[in-house]
Order: sequence, then C-alpha cells, then structure tokens
Amino acid sequence: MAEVQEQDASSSIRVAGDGFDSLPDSLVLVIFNFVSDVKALIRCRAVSKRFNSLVPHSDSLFLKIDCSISSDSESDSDSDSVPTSNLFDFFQTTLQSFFYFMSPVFLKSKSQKSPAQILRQFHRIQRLQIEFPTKGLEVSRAVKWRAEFGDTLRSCVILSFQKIRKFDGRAMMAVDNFGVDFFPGMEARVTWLMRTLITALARHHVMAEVVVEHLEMKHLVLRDGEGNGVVVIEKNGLEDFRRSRVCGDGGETSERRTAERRTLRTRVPRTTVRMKYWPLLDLQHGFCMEDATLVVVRPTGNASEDETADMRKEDADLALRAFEDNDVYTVAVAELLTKGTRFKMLINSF
Amino acid sequence: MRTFQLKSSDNKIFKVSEEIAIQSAVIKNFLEDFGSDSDEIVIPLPNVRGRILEMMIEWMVKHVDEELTKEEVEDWENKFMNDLNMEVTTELVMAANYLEVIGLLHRTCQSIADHISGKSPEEIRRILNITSDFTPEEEAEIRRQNGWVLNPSTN
Repeated sequence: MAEVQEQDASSSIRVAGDGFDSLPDSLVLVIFNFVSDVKALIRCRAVSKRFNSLVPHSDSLFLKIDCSISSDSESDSDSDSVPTSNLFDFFQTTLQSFFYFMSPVFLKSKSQKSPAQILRQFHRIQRLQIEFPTKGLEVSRAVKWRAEFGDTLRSCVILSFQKIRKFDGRAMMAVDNFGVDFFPGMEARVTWLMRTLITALARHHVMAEVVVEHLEMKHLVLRDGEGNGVVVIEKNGLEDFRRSRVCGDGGETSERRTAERRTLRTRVPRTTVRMKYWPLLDLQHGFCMEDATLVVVRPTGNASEDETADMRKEDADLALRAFEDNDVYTVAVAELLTKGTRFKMLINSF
Repeated sequence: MRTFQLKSSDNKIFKVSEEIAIQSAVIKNFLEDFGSDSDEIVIPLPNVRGRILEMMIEWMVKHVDEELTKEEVEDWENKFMNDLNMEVTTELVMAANYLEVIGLLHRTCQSIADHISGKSPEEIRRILNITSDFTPEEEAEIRRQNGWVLNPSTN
C-alpha cells in the first residue's frame, strides 16, 4: 500500500488551482470542441497567443451560414442547363424554377467569404456541421428528409405529410372509403420530391471545395435552421467525393464537372423512386398523420429494375434509420412500410 | 457493497462505496489491480484538493441515484454547474480529467464553452482571467484577417 502511495505521489504533475492557464492544451481543445461554433472560435483566436495557436487544431466544428457568406462558385446564368429527362416534361420547369430558391449559393461580394475560405484556417477538422439558412418559401406541408452522399447521391429518404392531429373515429370511416389503389396529387408529390432532391444536390455541390481541402474530415452534416432536411456524408462517402473531384479529368467525369459548375449542383445518375402513401395514418397515443407519404430514392445503377426482396429490405432499413432521433416519424415510417399504397418511378440522370 | 476511502491532497478523507467511485476509470482500474478483499483501502489522490473531491463525489452520488429520473439529474446538474465560479470549474475539469470521470469532464468543459460562446475577445479574457500577450501589431493583424467576425460593424 505504502509503495502505491509513493508511486502515485511521484507521478503527480501539478496541483490544480492556478486558473484557466493551468489547463493543458489537450483540455483547452476539448473545450474548443464544445464551443464548436466557427465564429465563436475565431473570436477566441484574438484572446491570446496560446488561444490563437490552439484554435486551428479544433476538430469538431459548427458553421452557421448566413447571408453574408457566399460561395466561390461562379453564378449561374445558363438557361439550357437541365438535360433531357424523359419522365415528365414538367420536371424541367420544376428543376429550373426551384433551383434558384433552393440553392445555398449567394451572390458574391468582395467583403464576403465562402465556407471554404473561412474553414481554411482550421487544419484538423474531423467532424463538421454546416447550417444553411432557410429561405422564406411558403410551406404548405411538412417535408422531412435525410440524404446520404458520396461523390453523388447514395440515398434519400423523405417523409411528408399534411399535418399531425388528434385521432377521431369518423376520420377512420372516411379512410376506409378511400380505396387503397388511389394515389392522389401525384404532380404535387413529384414537385416536392424534386425540390428536396435539388436542395440536397445543391448543398452537396457547394461543399466540394471544403471536402477536398480537409483530408482528415470523416463526418460531414449539412442541415437547415428549421431541421427539415439533412445531408450526411460519412467517411467513405467523403473519400469518394474527394477522389471524384481531385482526379476527375476523364471524359465522362469532366463533362459532368462542367455541367455541375453550370447548374451549381451535383448531378445524379439514373435513379429509382419508391413511394408509399396512406391517407390517414394511425400513430400511437391517439394521434394520426394526414396524407402521409414515404419516399425512398436510390440510384438504380446497373441493377435490374425488377423489385427484389433484398431491395425492399434495404429500403426499409434506410427508411427506419433516417429519422431515428424522432419517435413519431419513426412510428409513421414503420406503419407506412407495412400498409402503404405503393408507387414506383424511374428518373433518368439529371 | 464495498466501501473504501479517498484521500485528497490536503489529507481529507472521504468514504465512498465502490458503485459510486468506479465512475472514475482510474479508481476502477486501481480497485481491479489492488483492492479485492479489504474495506481498509485508502486511495491517495495527490492532485485533487478536498473541496474539489467533495464536489466530485457529490456529482458521482447523484449519477448513480436510481430514485432520480434522468430529468431530475439534469436539473440538479445544471444548478450545480451554475453555482460554480470559473476557478472551481477549471479545477473540476482538471480533476475529472485526472480521475477519468468522463461525464463530469464533458459537462464541465461544456460549461466553460457556454460561458465563452458568443463573447468578444475582451469578454473572454475577463471571464477566463487571461491576459493578452499580443503586441498591438499582432492583435491588429488578427483582427484584420478575421474582421468579418471580430468587428461588429462589418458583421
């Protein structure tokens, strides 16, 4: 016992009590990672020489983009930027009209900085979260979504509904008369679907520079202030993203790059969209969800277009994971997976 | 339930149960290595003074209390943190780090982070009791580089 005491006493480094300056660098960095907000950290740089040299080593950052930040990308004025999609003609108008609203890119002025410029002073970013401003679009229904990306879209799960309200028995009767083969309001559904995809693709696109410049980054989240939708890029997605932007000088890839620069968004390959719909969904605890729609979007790739049990299971797993921090949405997703009216469509590369 | 004693740098003795103390990874390892059969074990903690150790134990006791809900523990913890001055919070960070009480380490670091978030460099110096060691030229250069954040007029 005595031996142990001696050992412990001799390994003692210092007795605490001389204030914040006594904290070792590793702990100051833990605190900086809790601060996380990029602007607050930049203010810390002006506190002292020690702070100034430690701040660039913070590895967990949050950057809130407001209107005083712009992108490095040149602004887009092409009107012929959308390639042919042979699905619906109105996709094209949808794409173009929503693009300007949903793009997170702002007009550039000399005094403003892009996210890439701001983040260049941080050298060790591992986890980065960026919040985009929500623009004043009229929202008539809830559209909650989560998209995963690599160099392009890997998957997108959308849960959309009119509203959540108290459940009453009479509504239930009405549902029974509805008939399950009826899939109303398809045009509106396709509109918010495309709007969501374009938003996700535009957010992904403006991050290319940041992703290429921060090689240690292994988790990137792009969300909006109201928490409607989130783009997630995990470690191997970030690697794909970097690889595609750094060595993208092959024929097809460079054409894609040029097209992406013009449209200010990432392009997607041929994609399969699977929808499930139910007019009035019984949630737990006496609540119900009106006009509930679940959408799973995934690139079709070279796979056969035939529905397989594996694909359904993968879709279901994706959908259940997408809203795991929200119990209500997860219940709704689980319900829709078991009973919804099914609809499937293909979207050509766009 | 085994109990044993923790001894602070100023020789104050605290009796604690194993369940409470093993929230410290260091104490947990110590007990696995040495203390299998005796209630008489005294664990010396030469880096932690009595007042700080007492607060750590108070925090650890609350975090194993099964009669409290998660919300009640959170409420208690928020009040606990609010009552601390920066000097004591900093000491708790050191002690929690030294004894590897991860929950307390994170909560105390979070508390300091909350105090400096959204503050100007001058306010942060005052809150943390730090003296600027920049030359006027160096400080001017930093402010020039990050003017969009540091100068409210251009923000």
